[in-house]
Amino acid sequence: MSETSRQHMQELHAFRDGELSAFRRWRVARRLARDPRARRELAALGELGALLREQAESVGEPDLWEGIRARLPYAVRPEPLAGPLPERAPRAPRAPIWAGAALATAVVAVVVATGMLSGDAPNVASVRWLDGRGKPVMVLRDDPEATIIWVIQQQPEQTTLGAGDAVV
Amino acid sequence: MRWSRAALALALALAAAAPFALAQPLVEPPRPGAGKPAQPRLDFAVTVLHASPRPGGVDPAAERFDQLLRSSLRYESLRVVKAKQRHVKLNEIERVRLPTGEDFRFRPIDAGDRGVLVAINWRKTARGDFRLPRGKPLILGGQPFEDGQLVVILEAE
Repeated sequence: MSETSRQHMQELHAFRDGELSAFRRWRVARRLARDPRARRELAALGELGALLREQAESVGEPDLWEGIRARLPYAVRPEPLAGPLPERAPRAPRAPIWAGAALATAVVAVVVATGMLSGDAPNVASVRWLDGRGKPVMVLRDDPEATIIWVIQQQPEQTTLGAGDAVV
Repeated sequence: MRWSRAALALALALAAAAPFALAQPLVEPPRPGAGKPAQPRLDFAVTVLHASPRPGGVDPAAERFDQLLRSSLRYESLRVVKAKQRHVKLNEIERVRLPTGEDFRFRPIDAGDRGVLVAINWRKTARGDFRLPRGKPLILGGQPFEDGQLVVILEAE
């Protein structure tokens, strides 16, 4: 997004929220009257706001995690520990602070030297945020080949048998 | 005495910086032909599949997706219900009508080297933001349809 269009979007946000001065408000209103694209953007903002309000309203819904965990196909539930916790092994002698600092410096140097933080580094994960509208939703796969997201319906259509694949 | 030294130091600094200042134009001259950048149109492919537990095989047009889905989902038949190409501008909302009568809507928010950031809104099913590198399909499924479920695939081209 260019700097100009970013400014226009910010102005539209402010216009929609009633945060502009009278003059700027008049100026944006004039642009809206002339520019159908600006009107579409403002309409899209209204839609986005409605979505956000809808999301905010759904915050008070009951915690669905237990239901989701029960339906997860790959979930392995660890058994609770029966006996007392094992005694801690004797502590190894601590490394001096300068050793930690040297290690951290070496790691930073490697990261910078290899360009791991540059834009060329592959960014595999695709999901930024996800909402199943109150239904359990699973990211079955998110790797360089594909992202697969499955929304589980309330009926018992999911199994945890065998390899644990989702069932249609 | 102190002031004269300071003035001398300032003069020397200015004299040293002057050639660099003169060499660097204050305002970048306009490049010929560099007008207002056009808003890019982004190409998307939207494919709607129907995955069913009934036997029926895999639609040849769905074979590529079958390879991706087979390891994660169980179904007996997979067929293409709809395949659409869409050219969308940034921040423009695009809709694809699904067989259920609902709209699958998406809006590209940002485009860069790592792909297109897309906001998706599938009514009654799911919504979210996803980054789509070119050639990496986003596969969303789970909405009941007929005897199976619908799968919507969005790809940035």
